[in-house]
Amino acid sequence: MSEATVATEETGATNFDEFVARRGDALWRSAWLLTGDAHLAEDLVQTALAKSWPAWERVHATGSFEAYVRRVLFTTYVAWWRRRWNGERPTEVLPELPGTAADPDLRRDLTEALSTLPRGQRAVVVLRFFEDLTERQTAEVLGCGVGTVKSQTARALRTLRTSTHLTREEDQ
Amino acid sequence: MNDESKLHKALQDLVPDPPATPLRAAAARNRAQVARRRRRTVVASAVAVAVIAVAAPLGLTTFTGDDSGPTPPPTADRSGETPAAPDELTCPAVRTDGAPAVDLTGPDELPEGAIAVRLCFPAGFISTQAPIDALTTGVAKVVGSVNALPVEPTPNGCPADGGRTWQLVFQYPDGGTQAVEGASHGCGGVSVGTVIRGSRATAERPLNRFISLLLAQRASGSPATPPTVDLTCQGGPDDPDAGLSALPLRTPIDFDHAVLCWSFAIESDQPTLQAAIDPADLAVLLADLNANTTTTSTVPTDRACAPTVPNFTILGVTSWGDRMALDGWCSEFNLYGRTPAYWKPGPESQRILDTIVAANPLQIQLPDGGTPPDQVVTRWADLVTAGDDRADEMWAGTPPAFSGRIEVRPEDRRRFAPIADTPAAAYEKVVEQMALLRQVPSDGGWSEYHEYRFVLVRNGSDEAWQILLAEDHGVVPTGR
Repeated sequence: MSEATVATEETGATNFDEFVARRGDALWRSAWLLTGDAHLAEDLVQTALAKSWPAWERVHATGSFEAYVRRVLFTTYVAWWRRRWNGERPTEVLPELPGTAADPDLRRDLTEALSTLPRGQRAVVVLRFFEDLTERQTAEVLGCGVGTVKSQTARALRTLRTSTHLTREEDQ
Repeated sequence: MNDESKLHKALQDLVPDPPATPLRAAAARNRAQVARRRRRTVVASAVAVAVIAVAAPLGLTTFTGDDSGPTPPPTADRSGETPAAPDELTCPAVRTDGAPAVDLTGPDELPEGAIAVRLCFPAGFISTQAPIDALTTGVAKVVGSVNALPVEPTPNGCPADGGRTWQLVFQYPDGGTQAVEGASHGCGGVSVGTVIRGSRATAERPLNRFISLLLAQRASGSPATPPTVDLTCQGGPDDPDAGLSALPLRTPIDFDHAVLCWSFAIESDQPTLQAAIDPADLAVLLADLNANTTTTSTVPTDRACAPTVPNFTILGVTSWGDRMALDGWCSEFNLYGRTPAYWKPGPESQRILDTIVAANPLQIQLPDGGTPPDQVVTRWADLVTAGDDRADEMWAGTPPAFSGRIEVRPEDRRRFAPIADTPAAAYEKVVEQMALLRQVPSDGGWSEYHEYRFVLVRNGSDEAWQILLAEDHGVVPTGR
């Protein structure tokens, strides 16, 4: 299981700080895939943590605090990320690119293709194909029905398959 | 490998390594505490703004290079562990004793992790209004734009020009602050700690980044309490920057309230007239403006403005308290943005403007003891142009037979002792005021300038200067 894979089981953390130290980076990676920007990702993570912190004692006792934070993170992104951030991102600055993938063009193309997805579909893609959640788990995180997850997933995949950013790569 | 497997692999490869953020938990707790305090004390509509109000402290240890563990950023004030809310981040008081208005001590590179930044302006050559709100979203980008400016060597000499100096005061999670000061005049650059970053040409990059981020932040909120901002046309159309907001005028324009300022292209110095615009009338004007602004790549060439046509400026205040000016010339208003634009008021708007002007007519005052000779001459010209019989009251001698519109450009002046037995000898004080004068044809067209010698007299400093005579020295050969 990768670090990014959601841990719905107990993380082993005994307090909030320890939880953040252990799982903060994984949350940040998901947030980066949602936002495509390191600074915005950090802000999204901290917003989700700030919203979740008051519930630490109550939710931690159930062993599902990370799932709680993750749900806050994704629903925050879907619900009002656009309202808060859409106008702020400077258009002249391209999203920063990671350093692990071999092909910079492919990274850029995938980043741009993801950015064309509606926020709900992008959230579904990250949960299903980055965090490896099942359709039901994805539905629980987003607070929607499994049918919605299926339809959003299908639409997102169709969009990505036909994205000029990605098909161009395949055509060449 | 199917599409879903490919996508999984691609996403895993795509995501970068996260930055070191060891104080992430503390920052999140602080954010939650601030939000909770706000909820207890402010109206519900302000809560969303408050939650937004503390932004990400990113990479808090990246500046230290210290292996002993994370160290809070060096700041000027470490009086408490609980961060101040961004609305408590205030601009430093303006100093009148010559001391620096803001403490610029600190590291030569801004520490990462700032949670808020406020724009301030010290008292200076140009009066500029700072935004009422601090930036709390994307603060790291402003920090980055400051640090991206290279450290420049101390120059040997700098232009002695004037300009605007600005300050950005950053706040950190522990409540401490760090300020930088920038200018695009003089030596220019941004003072950060002991160094100057950037140059005259690049100093405003952090400022511009701040402004663009602040405007974006505002797009998702509204001020909890609209501030009270005075509107006076003290600067008038000739000084539109005085006291105006540092933020750009953006369309659609939505002023909370506004005043109309106007003056005339006449010869004498007259105060700018001012009248409040009725809210209903303002709504009509703004609706017309927002619907009928014309963008243009060139400024209209027909810019001659008759003395009877007022030059307008609409001075307004946005809901955020920003004092903005719609600068007018003749019957149009200019909107200076990335693309030049102008608005020519429609019939209903023009009727509103004309009604305001008609209700507040310009009264050219006769000179008094404090009016200098050059202004006496220009006031006389204005009264002649206006067909005002009081023009003749300004003469100690016989008024010339001028009528219609005249323009006069005062030049040199000197005091002289009159020759005995001449009319001027009858007065205690006599001055000679040279001026260029022309009579403007009725169609406003071109005519020759003549050089005139005005002689003005009076018997005491309490008396107004009177014009004794005006000698025509002929057409000015230079064609001025």
